[in-house]
Amino acid sequence: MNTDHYISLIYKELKGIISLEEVKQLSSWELQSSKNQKIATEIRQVWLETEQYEIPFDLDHDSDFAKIKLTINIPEVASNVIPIQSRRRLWINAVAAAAIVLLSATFLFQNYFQDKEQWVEVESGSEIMEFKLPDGSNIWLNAGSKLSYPSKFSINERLVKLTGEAFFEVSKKEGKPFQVTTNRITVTVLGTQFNVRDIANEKTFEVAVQEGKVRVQKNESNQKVILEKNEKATYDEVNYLLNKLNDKNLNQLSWKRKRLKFNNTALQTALNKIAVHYNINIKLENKSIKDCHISGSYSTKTEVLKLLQQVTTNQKIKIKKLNETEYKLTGGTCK
Amino acid sequence: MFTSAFNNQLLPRTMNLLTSEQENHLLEKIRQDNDTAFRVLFDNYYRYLTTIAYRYLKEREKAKDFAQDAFVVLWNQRKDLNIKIGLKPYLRQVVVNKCLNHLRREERLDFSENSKLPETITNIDAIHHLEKEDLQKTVQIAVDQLPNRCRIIFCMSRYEEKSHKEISQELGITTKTIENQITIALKALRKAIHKTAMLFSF
Repeated sequence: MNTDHYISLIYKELKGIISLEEVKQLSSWELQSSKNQKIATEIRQVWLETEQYEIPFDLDHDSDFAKIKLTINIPEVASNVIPIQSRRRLWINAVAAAAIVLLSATFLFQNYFQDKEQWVEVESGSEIMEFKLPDGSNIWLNAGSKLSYPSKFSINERLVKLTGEAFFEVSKKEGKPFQVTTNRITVTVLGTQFNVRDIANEKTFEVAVQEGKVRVQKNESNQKVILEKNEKATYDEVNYLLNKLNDKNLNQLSWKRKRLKFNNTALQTALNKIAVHYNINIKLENKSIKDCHISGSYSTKTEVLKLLQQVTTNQKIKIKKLNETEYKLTGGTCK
Repeated sequence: MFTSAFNNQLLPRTMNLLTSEQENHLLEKIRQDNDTAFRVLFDNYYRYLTTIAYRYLKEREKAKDFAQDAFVVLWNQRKDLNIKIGLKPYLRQVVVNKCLNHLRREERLDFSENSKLPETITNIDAIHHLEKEDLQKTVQIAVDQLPNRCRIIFCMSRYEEKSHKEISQELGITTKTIENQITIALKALRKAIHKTAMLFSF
């Protein structure tokens, strides 16, 4: 059997479609030489590294959605449509029918839809939610929080309103600042990543910047601070002061981390994922259990040690923490 | 000040992944000609669909066009649409069909069993511009440079999480071909990683 055959077996293992017979074949091949072992490790690494795929360009949701709207027919639902709008509408449809999309037409079209302002209100309930805004910005909304945004942003600004806590990954749009207003503060940015926390029954609020630059202004006052990477602003309730602090580790963002999900995943693959997530090394001593199937969804808010216990509970594995970044797993059997 | 257009059950819990309840709720609104619901759906699935199309075509504008077309199709069929497979797979299917038709029309796709299997990818020079920590990017560039057929099969398996059976049905090829092509892909990608590792080993 040539190497290709075993690479194909590794693929089947990663895909979770390997048979017991093939598992045996693969392990004995891996044990044959260190070269084989190296190939196997690298192929598994390739699989891990290909987990994400990002298109190498930006998407402009507004103009692309406007294109869609030019080719479809949206019946008027609202009764308060004024005639000018409806005439504009007809004209634009006529242009679309002729398949000529002029820049000015797009512009008018955008104006038209701005007139009909509708706000979308997102409430997270008991779970953290991730979603996208019309401009492509990514939002992580912490549990028990609420974010409102217009179904279409206006041409020169992007305004959203937050109650509670959210992490913002704002897409860069020249001349179109992004503004978050909460009960007590207003945060203005131009493409950055930052966390805003203003919870009703908490004395202080907090804004933390992971990337870029933001301006934080206390509502109904002229107190403001400019924050850059790894800085945060908090509020001193006693002295009514807006403070700026350094904050390198941004631990307050841990809430936004996701859950790790496994669905008949090989143990080794699951451990690799955990290792990457927590940035640690996990050594699996008993190689015979590396293909045990793992399933389940685990919160990564848990400590590593506890998470490892949860994940490997069926295999009766002993877990030893060697130091902050090294964990050793010994013993165990596939159930 | 804020009119609540929707209640909380409607919006996504994870990126690009509305629950079926949320999808149904949106679809219901869309059936009632609600363009805000249509926009919410667009905002959440547009990137997903463009990414799929781009992996098939490697053409930006075409990829965006096909993703947009899927929404147009959905809108035009909204009244008598009976989607059993879920909204996301439905939209995906529209996009994939468009991509495959396009590639076939342009004769850039040869899935016949006896067509020659390419040995490895040819050009990984772009990788030289990357930093060490960009391994993931390196691999992605290498994925982009896989030959059409090889890339499409690999991506269907890896990113769209399709089973061999589904891939073979969609592309009309045998599972053996799928395994062969994925093996070729993995080997090429491993080579790309190797090259990066060597570049930064000094």
